[in-house]
Amino acid sequence: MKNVILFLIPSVFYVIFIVKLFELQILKGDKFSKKAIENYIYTINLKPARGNLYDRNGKILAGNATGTRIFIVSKDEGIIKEYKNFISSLNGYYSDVVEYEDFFSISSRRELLENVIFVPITYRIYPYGELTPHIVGYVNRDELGIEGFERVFEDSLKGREGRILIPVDAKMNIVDKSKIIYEFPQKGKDYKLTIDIDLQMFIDSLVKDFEKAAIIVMKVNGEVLAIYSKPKYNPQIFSRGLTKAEWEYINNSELAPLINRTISGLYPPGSIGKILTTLISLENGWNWRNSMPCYGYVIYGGHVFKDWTVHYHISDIKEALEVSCNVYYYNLGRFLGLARLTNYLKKLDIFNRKFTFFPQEKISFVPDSSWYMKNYKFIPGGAALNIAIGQGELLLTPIAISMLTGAIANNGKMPYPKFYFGQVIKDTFKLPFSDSVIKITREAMLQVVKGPRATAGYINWKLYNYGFNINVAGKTGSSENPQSKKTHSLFTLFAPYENPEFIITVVVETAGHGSEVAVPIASEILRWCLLRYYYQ
Amino acid sequence: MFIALLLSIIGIIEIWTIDKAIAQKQALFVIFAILLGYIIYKYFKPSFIRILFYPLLIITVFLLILAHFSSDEVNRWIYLKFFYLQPSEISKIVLAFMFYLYNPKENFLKVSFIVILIFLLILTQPDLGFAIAIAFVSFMIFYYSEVNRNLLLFIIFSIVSIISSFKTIIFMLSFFALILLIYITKSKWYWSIISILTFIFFGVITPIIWNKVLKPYQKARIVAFLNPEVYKEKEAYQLYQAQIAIGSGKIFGKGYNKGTQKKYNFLPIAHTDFIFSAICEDFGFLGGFFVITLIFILILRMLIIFLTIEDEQLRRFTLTLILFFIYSFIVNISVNLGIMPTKGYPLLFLSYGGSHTILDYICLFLIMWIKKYSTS
Repeated sequence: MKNVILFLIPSVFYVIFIVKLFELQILKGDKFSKKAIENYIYTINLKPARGNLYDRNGKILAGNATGTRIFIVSKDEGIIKEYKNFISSLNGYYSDVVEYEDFFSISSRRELLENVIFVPITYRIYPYGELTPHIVGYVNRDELGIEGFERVFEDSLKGREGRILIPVDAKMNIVDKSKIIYEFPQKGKDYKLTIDIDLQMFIDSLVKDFEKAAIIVMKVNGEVLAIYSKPKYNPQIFSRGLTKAEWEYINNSELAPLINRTISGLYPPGSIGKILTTLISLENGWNWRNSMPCYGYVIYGGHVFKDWTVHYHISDIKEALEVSCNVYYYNLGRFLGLARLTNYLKKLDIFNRKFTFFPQEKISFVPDSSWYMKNYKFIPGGAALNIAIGQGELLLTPIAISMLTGAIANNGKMPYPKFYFGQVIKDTFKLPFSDSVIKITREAMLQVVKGPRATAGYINWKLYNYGFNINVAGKTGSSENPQSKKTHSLFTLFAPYENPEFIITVVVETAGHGSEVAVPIASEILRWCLLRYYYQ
Repeated sequence: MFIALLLSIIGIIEIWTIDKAIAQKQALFVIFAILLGYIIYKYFKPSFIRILFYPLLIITVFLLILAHFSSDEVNRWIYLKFFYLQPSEISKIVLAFMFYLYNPKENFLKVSFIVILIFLLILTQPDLGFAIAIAFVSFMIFYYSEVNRNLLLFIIFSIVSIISSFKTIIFMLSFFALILLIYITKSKWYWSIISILTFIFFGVITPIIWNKVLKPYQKARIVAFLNPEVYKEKEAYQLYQAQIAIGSGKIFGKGYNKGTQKKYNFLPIAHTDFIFSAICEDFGFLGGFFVITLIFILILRMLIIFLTIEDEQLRRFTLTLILFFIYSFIVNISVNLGIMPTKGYPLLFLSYGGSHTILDYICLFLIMWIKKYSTS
């Protein structure tokens, strides 16, 4: 018995050892191999350069600058301190990103080179700074796209990470410099945007007297030439860290500079909304030749609905749009009724879908009877009348206005906006109205610029003075602004009338009537576009 | 002999990859040990034991006390001109001599006194691994000499009491188990009372020792053993790195001198306590299997020699020597494989170290001498 125990003890352990050895080396061998490699391979991740963003003429909107970063490969406090002191002595402060000259200073100290790896790095720069942030967006300190294009195309812009694999011992000393493996990073994909930065710059100069504005210039094929939102901000500040003043500016809820007003700004369209009313009324059997007197007001449901002036006689719907007669459109609102008007509006893409791939975009809004019941507990008597003249609760984004104008210019169809070359546009915005209706509306919009009583006659006169023989169609808008007596100034146009090429929408907040501010700005933009793209 | 030499050669080959100077030194130790062992093999006589025992015991005790005054943090070695002497190794021979001369059953108090003296001197160095070796070997010899069963039961329950004292529930369960065992074995009444009192005494005193007496690094080692993943960066580092070294060797190993764990110092003290891990990293499962099997065969052969001996004194003498080899095998490889906490006990014939190499060979040659002596 005793002798059996004697043999048993080493035998049992022998079996246990073999089993354990089998478990560690054969069952868990791969896991431990990985651990062993992690142990002696020190990895430095190399950030790839982000893809460049160019404007349509090849100018860099978002590019990369280069620098050198130092990695100290050591666990020895003394060595690390010596490096930091040396680098600090060059600049007066310590930073692991070193200047070009410092690179040579460090290289000259051979003993320091033993534990150091130099890694080229790139960081994001925006040469046009404040001109493009709302479309290009920005990256944060980790070069992660946060807004705009940088955010939407993060995956393809960021490129593929590279690595440096350094064999080290337990004390983190580099074992053999010749065995360091370099896997170089791959630069992200470049994009060429449809934006024209020169036009963007020109627009910036036009609105310099105004605090808030949203301007879109599109081509009829959907290419966006300019997408300008003010207040602006410098996208560079986010990658280097905000100062207190900058932080306060960015977070100012009154200015809200981060908001791209062209796609997220919801404005009452003012008289521009009359385009929609025109289309729906004609579609519903309103005879465009119907004339009407205008005494400057109508009374409906015991309320007085005022016009902005007395128009005396309106001979047809085209003239009503030309002079922007509220009385005529109040009557169209009465003719249609709230249910019919809002039902038609709701069928449009404008109130259902986003036109761009930017997550920031907001969808235009149209109220209906159930919305009124929910929010007001009753349906205001004149709701249809107010919506008919583009006031009340109806809200449109500048991009939606552009799409509407484009669709009318283009005989009822407008491709969705195109922001970069190579973008495949499948969607087309279609107006669900008959050709004759669109034709009459088109003609009415021409009259807004060219007619004898034209509200936007300025642009016609201005272009004539500039020497252009060109027909423009459009519509002004002055939308009520709860913050000020001054209205928002809106204007949307397409030109040339016969063979449309450009669609321009200008919204200037708290600036006055559409004809006063937006029309002159639009005419300058149109002139620029014609010179640059039309009369080449 | 040849297995031992083969193990030593494997050890030297592996140490060569870590430090050539150390490997050369170890080779010299092996040659010296074999020469010394051969002289012993040739000229040893049983009568020497009686002459040598007391001088050797006194020298060992003296050296063990002297080791306490060495400047080392762990007072394990005495520095001699050419190498560090580890006096605790000599106590192997002292124990063997003692068990040859005295039957523990007849000279219980005398034998116990010497064992406890050496045990305490080594424990306080502190060298827990070696102290437990002394306790293990002595206990086994006691058991073989048919010392009172109650006494052995008493010793076992003292140990159980120490271990279980940290968890009240386990302590209570152990207590009931003890009472049950006393009832079953029909122990004498005074043994029962002494066992129960000792059990309670150790149960109370152990937490106090743990909190007041044990050094932080000893506590850390035990805690790290219980939870290696959490203490990865600290004390279990050694255990964990040894497991990585062994595991990453896979079936065929990384190849001679290609183990990264050992080469780049992630595997600590690879030339001594963790040489088995280093071998497993370089030569994989096959290498590890080969080494374990070699040692196992060596031990089996020693045990077979032990079985052939008829003289009671020589049996105890031989068994003492074999048990030290068995202990080395079990403890060192268990630690390498992460089955036991780090104790710092060298692997027979493979680990670097002058004292233990020489003493291992002396023990081996003594066993060979016994074979020769008992057959003649």
